[in-house]
Amino acid sequence: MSGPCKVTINGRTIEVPAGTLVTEAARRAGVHVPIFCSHDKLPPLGACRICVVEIGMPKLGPDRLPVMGTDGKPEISWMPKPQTGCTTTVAEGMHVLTESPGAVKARKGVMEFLLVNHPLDCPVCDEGGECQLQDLAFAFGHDFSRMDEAKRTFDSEDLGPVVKKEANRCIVCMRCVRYCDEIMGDDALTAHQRGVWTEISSFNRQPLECEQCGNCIEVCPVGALTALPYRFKARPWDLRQHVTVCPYCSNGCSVRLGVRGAEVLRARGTEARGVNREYLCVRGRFGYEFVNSAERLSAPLVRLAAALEPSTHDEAVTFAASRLREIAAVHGAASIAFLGGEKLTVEEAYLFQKLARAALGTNHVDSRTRWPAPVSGRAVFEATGGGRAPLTFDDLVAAQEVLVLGEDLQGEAPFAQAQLIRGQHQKGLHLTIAHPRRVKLADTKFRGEWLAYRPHAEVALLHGLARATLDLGSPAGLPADGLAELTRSLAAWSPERVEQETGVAFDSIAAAAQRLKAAERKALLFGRALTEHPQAAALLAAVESLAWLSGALGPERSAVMYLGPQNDTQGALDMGLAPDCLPGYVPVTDTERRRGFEQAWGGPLPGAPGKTAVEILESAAKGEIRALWIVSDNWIRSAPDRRLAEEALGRAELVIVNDMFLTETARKAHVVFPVASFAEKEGVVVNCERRLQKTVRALTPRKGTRGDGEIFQAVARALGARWSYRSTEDVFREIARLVPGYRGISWANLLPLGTPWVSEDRGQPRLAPVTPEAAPAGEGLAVLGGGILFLQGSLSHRTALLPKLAKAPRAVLHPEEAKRLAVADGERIELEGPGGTIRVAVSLDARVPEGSVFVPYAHAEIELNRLGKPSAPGLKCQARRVSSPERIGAG
Amino acid sequence: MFKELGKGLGVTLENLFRKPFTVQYPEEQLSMFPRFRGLHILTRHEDGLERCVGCELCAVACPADAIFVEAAENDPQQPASHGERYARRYEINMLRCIFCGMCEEACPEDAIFLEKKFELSDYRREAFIYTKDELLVGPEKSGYLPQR
Repeated sequence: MSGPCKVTINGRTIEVPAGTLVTEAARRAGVHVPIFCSHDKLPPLGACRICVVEIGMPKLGPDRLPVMGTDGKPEISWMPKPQTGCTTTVAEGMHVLTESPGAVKARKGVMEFLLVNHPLDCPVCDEGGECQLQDLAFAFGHDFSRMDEAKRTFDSEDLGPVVKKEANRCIVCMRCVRYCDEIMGDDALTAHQRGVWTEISSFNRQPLECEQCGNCIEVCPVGALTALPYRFKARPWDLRQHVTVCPYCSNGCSVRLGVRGAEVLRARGTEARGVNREYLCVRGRFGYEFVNSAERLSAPLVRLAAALEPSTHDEAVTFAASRLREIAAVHGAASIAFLGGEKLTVEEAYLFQKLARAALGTNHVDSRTRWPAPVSGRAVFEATGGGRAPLTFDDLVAAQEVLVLGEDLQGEAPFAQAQLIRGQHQKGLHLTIAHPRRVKLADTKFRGEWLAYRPHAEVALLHGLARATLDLGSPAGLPADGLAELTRSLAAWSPERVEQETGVAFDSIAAAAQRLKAAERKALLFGRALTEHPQAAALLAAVESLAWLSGALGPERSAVMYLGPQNDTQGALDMGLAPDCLPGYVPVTDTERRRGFEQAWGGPLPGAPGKTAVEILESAAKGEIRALWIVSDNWIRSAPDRRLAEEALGRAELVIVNDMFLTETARKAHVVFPVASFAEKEGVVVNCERRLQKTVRALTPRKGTRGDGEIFQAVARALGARWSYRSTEDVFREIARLVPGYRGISWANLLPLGTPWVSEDRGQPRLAPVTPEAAPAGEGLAVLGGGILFLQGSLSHRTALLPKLAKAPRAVLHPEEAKRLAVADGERIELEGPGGTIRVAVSLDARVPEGSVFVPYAHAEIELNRLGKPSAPGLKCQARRVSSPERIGAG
Repeated sequence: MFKELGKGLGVTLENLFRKPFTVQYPEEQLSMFPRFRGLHILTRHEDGLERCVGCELCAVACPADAIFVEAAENDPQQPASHGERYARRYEINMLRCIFCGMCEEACPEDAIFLEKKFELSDYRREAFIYTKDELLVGPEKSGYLPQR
């Protein structure tokens, strides 16, 4: 049955789609039906019974027509007992009563039962003040209980470092268990015993070994699960709550910050708002503490003599501007380079490149500091379908087939992973995970297909996929010459060769290609594994070809998503933090379109593309680039080659760093500007679905710090530019006037959730010929970099909980590989790459393929880039056991 | 006429020899009525533990926003209160307090009472922020609850 149904709720008739639950229909009719166990993202269960209502259907006569009463209205035959609204779907002509004496009595009875064993310890319970049981007992319950017996009691437990369980308060709604299974895919919680003795705990009653996301705490309607880090910190009425955007990964989840005084005390999900709608990962939920850190810089630092000395903002700005002017005058503007900016807001990123291009006249601007190969700024834009309507998270959960290329979503994009798991559990989504390691999504329990390609065989795999897709026939509308050329170049990649280089049976690759092509709703996800690859340019072109061939890119829509490393990676690229693109991906070489910016910015702009980040790194190490401005990026750690980065910082005549903390990079700077944190500034950030979302100022900036935008404006003015932005909104208005894709977007419409941007810059389908030769593989172990769930860069290290959850830094080896190297779990190995060596303790895990070593790059202690810049096809290193007796406890 | 005069003089003479109402404050102190509301006290259980669990209901009930509470978790070895939670900081800004008694009414633990002390003048503003040390009764008054 489909089409709308007419339902009458408390005498009010509304039309809702068939299949709507009675509780939802009531909500739309403006009637409040209380719920505990029901949850938007979970299938109906009907465990708590608080949503009982009286339901009736029109009585049908022998002719199957409604029987009319004496008043001319259909006679209703009421069900003999109250029904649960959260499990009953509406039907045509249904009548629902929520306030009838029968319904009220039933509800009061249910509430009395729920409170039979509830300890009513609200004064000490952390949920007090925002507890649904408290609210609903107040609204719908009795003010007395007939229960005379002793209440059943359980002991409270700490389920790991995050979850505190007080089972006495539990009403057994099963939300936590179901959320953990169906959305997190962790199956960490279960219900022990039955009946009144039901108790939620981990299976073995040991601390939870899960993602520690704390979503079970979030969905708990009572105080049975509470957050240990927030334990007894404050009451909800103490907190000023601000909904803003998470500073970590590119998913752009909304977080609700609770601020008391000048301190952020907690971060929570946002129930019905944001892309994530209450979901948060462990970083989002417990990674806010760096905002409160005492280590934050509170005054600009200037190196006048040998040491960095605290200074005032005015002095620092004057010093920076005068040095920039001198260097530009003596060596030319091309000796100045601007790096970083993936954590800036869109407005700040815009000002950053405007400062470089308009005020100084250099195109050496790049936010992609980690990329080891020079790639055009438009490459990702084109691979994801240009200005076509992008893939959203709602599309992702409803997709039939999803191909994840080389990415461990658990570490890089936890919310995308949660969407996929939810789709797999609830909507029949099929996963194809191409990854050398058996990452979480490649687990057999998700019933997907794991293309376990050999480390560094990304090029071969993508070409194999492209070839298999091409063999299925090509969609109409692709350029014929491109197709012919692609077919010719793909001939070099025979099934046997693909099989030999990837280690994956060609049949599996062909089946994956078949599924992707056949699926009507599909998605293709890629991220750092491809963009931070030495052959990134070829890989991105191959992704683009594959997307066109498989239909993931169509004339109007794109089903390709790029998951960048930071929360505003997309916005930084959009705003032209790339050497060959002006904001909106306008090529700097395009004289016609450049003129628009020249007129608006009041001066000529350089027309030759600048250097990419990796080229800047090399030229700065050679001394050709003399001034560097590095923004919100610990470049020494993020640059592909640490030795070169150190050399570059040592040789540069002027290094300006914007950062919250005195990072390793900031220590080498000549000027350090202390900046405001994400919670202290407003602006727009763009997530991986290209959605514009506004962050809000949850607290005033820490004394002595300023927003990056203010610093850029001050320096630009000191350089003589006539900038006069009075607010972030002013900057955004200029962006909305000038930048393709952002044109016409109104600042006022961006809260709580903006829309994904689209632009007319779509380009024609493009099929690039593939590289016929594979790069020669080096000797040694293949180094697999990758993100981990608990840490992401310098911010997460400044929290109390996350480094503790991430445990000790470890390189991970396959047990067989470890046997070959004669190392045991917990012993240290030395890895020697082309650029240097690192020493790190190992742990053993059969999910990492033989012949490789997995080195997570998020740990502060593991300086992966000391190994040197990876060369095609990927970084190889020599490993040996460190023979010294130093041994770190296993685990 | 004399009758009225005598009556009036009688009143005068009666009051002339009556014990005076005036109290020689501060040498002499009045005893307050049972429901008088002066400076707050925080009470203790019979076993000497604090009654306050730091639930902050007083703070949210306070119409003058005079109360600040910061709760913390009890050390199970040396608990400050019954249960898991206690008030690590409990401060009342007596410059803001309007002595309405809402905190007392809101308290689920009978922990806060407005007692009889009313001499609350000082030379420094900071001195009007009464901290937990000043508000909490001594251990000798364990179990004491004012009668209302």
